[in-house]
Amino acid sequence: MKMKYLALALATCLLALLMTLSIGATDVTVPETIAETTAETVTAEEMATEPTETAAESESDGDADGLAFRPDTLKNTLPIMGMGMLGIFLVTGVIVLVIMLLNWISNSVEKRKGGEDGE
Amino acid sequence: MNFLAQMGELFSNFGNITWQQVAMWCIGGLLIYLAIKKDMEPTLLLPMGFGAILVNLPLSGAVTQTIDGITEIGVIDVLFNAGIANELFPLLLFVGIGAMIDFGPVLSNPKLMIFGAAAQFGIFFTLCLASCFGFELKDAASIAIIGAADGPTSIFVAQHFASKYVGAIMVAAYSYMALVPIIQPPVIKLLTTKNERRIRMTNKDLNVSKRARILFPIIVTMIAGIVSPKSVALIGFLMFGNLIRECGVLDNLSETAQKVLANLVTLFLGITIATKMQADQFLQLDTLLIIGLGLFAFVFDTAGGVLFAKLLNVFLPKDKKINPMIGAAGISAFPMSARVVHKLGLEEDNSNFLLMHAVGVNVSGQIASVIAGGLILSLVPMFS
Repeated sequence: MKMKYLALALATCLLALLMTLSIGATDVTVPETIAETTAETVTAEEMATEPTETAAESESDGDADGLAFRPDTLKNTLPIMGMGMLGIFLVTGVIVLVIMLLNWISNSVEKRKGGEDGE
Repeated sequence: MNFLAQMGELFSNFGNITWQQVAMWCIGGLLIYLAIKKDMEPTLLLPMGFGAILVNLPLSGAVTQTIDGITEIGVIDVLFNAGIANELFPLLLFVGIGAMIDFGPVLSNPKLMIFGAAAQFGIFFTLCLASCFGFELKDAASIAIIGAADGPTSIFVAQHFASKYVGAIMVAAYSYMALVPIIQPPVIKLLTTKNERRIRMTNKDLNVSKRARILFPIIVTMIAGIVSPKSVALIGFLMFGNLIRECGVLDNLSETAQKVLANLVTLFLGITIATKMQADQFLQLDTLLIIGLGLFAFVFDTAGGVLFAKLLNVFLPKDKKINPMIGAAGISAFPMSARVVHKLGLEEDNSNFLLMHAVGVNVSGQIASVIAGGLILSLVPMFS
C-alpha cells in the first residue's frame, strides 16, 4: 500500500515537472535568437529546406547559454519524443505481425507435411 | 653539477603531474576495483580503468602529443581512429552479440516485443531533459542512449554525432549496465503492488521452426532498415550475427563470432575508449550531469516498461493479466534484466517462474534499443 502511494507521488511529481516545464516553455521570456530559431524550426520540412542557417543559429545559442536550464527547448524535443516512440511502436508492431505470419505459415507447412507423412 | 642537471631533467616529468591527472588515476583505479572486486562488467570496466591511467600519465606516449612543435602519434589514438571514429568496433561487437542471442522466446511469443518498445521511453524523455539542460541536440541524443543499456549502440550514436562526451557516456553506459541488479528492483517495487508482482503467466510452448529462425533476422533488418536507413549498419550487423547462428551451416563462424571476435573487439574497445577519458575532457561538471542523466534514462526506461504493462492490464481479462515486472526487462541489458525480474518474481512467490517471459522481453529490448538508436540517428538531424 505504501509503495502504491509512493508510486502515485512519483507520478504526480513527474506530471507536475512536465507541466511546469510546459508552462515554462510557453511563458518564459526567451532571448530573441532562440525565439527566432524556434519560430523558424517548427516543422521538419522547413528544416530540410534551410538546414545550414538554423543549425548555425542553434549552435551559437548553445555556446552562448552554456548548460543553463532551458525549458523552451521542449518545443523542439517533445516532437522527437512523440515521433520516436510512435516510430518504435510502429516498427515493433510490423515485426510482431510478420513473426506471427511466419509462425502461422511454418505451422501450416509442418501440419501439411505431417498429414502427408501420415497418409 | 652537470650530472645533477641531467638527472633532474630525467625525472622532470614528475613536475608535469597535475591534480586532474591524479584524480583520473583514482577514477581508473575505482573502475578496476569495481571490475575485479565487485565483478561489474569486468570485460569493459577493467580495460577502461587501466586506459584511464594510461592516457593520464604526463606526456603519455600512448596518446598523441605535440611537444616542441613535433607531433607524436599515440597508439591509443591510432586504435580510436581505426576502430571507434569510423564506428567499426561497435559494429563488429554486434556481430558477436547477434551470434550469442537466441531469439526463440520472442519468436514463440512475439507479443512480448511490445514491452521492448515501451521500455525505450526513458531514452526519449532523457533526450528532452538533456536538451533542457542546454546540451546541444546531438549531445542530448547521445546521452539519452545510455538508457538503452546497450554499450555498442551508445558508442555508435555518440560517435556518429561526433559527441565530445563519448568518454563520459561510455563510462555511464557500462557502469549502469553492471548496476542493473541494484537500479531496477527499487523502481519495479515502487511502481507495482505485491499482488501485481504475484501475477502468474502461462508459458507458451510453441515450437519455432528453423525457417522462422532464419527468416527473422533478414526480415527485421529489412523492416528496420527501410524505416530508418541509418540503423541498417546497427541492426544489420546484429542480425547478421544471428543469421550465422541460426542457419545451421556456419557453426564454426558462429562460434568464432561469439567467442574470439567478441572477446578481441571487447579487449581493444575499453582501452581505446579511454582516449576520451583524458583529464581535461573528462573532469568537467558536464560529466557529472551526464552520469546523472544516464541514471535518469535507465530508471525511466524501466518505469516505461512496467507502466505500459500495467496499462495493458487495465484492458486485459482477469485470467490473462500480465505480470508488470516483465516490462522492466525491456531494456537491452541481457540477460541481467531478465534475471532480476525472475528473481523478484520468486521473492514474492517461490513457484512463479517468469524467466521465459522476461527473457523474451529482454531480447526484444535488444532489438528495440537498436531501433531506437536508428530512429534517433534519423530524427535528430531533422530537428537540429
